[in-house]
Amino acid sequence: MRKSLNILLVEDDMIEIMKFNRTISKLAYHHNIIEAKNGEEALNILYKNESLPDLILLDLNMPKINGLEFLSIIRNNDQLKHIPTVILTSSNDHKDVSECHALGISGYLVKPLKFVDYSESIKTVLDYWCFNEFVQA
Amino acid sequence: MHQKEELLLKLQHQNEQLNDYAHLVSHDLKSSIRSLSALLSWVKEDCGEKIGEESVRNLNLMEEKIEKMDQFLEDIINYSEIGATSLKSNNIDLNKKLVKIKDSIHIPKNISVVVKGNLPVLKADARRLRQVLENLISNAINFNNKEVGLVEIAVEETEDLYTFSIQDNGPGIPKEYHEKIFNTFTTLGYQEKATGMGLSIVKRVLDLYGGEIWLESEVTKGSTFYFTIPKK
Repeated sequence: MRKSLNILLVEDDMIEIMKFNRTISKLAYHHNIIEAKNGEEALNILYKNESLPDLILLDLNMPKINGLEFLSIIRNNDQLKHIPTVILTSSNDHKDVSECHALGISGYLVKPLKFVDYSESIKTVLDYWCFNEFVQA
Repeated sequence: MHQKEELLLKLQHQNEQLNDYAHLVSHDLKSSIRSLSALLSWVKEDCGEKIGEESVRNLNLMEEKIEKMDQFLEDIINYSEIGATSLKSNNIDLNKKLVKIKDSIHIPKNISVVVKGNLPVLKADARRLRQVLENLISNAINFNNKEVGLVEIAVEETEDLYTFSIQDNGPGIPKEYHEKIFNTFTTLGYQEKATGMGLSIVKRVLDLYGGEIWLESEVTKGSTFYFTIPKK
């Protein structure tokens, strides 16, 4: 059955956050979004929050703790390693792609240039995860 | 001897830094361009009616420029990546590979892309070889100016090398440009969307293989690009 998702969006760029919010505001289904500006902020949210997100959407280029570092930290944490994480990035860098897959990700999305295409891909990702079962924390 | 080695190491290091730098700058610019593109499309969506037809047309032109800048940065990233990682050795069935490449390129209805004969299976870096073929084939398609366009791909095998040929019936290239077109950022101005990076990417990959590239061309009749990959 389709459910509403709790999503942690880890993204430092203001306009990227606006793009994401504009996209989901036009969806037929409501999702809860928690925003974190970088890996450090995201970790703090995860460490102190009793209810963990269903899904993490993660940018790679960020200040302080970057996406790859963040991913490696949560993949090595028994409480957090089960959370599906989808990379949202502008880089299709071969090294990034293989490092992320090696650490364990649930998707790697290279953000398309055009906003309509971007919206479409975000919508597709959320549509898919809506129908998934998650670990109950 | 010692000094020479030191110098070589230093140069190698500088070269790597330069590649990293190109990579980093391009990525940063690419994300800025993504933001610009989104903001522009929102202005169009939210105020299209208020600002009038002419302004919408100008916004569309801005969008086109942004698209070109994005392609340009993508090419710079691709270019700077070549040589940064070592070449892989994949078994490639060229017949299958070309079907895949043809699927990934936009081919207009008036142009046919034909693979001649049965192609060999060879060992090469699949991604790099794809870059070479993709660039040459899409050039042959994009620059084609004939009502009925034809692009023919063939491979000949000799004892120590493969010679690929990509033949088109496009506008042809005057002799004086036959070397220049392989330089970075050189375009012949036939096409609005050209970045001038495609052939330099091709050349850079082939340099890594010790392969060569050259062309035969007759203006208004068409061009044939040849390149070789040694069997080692």
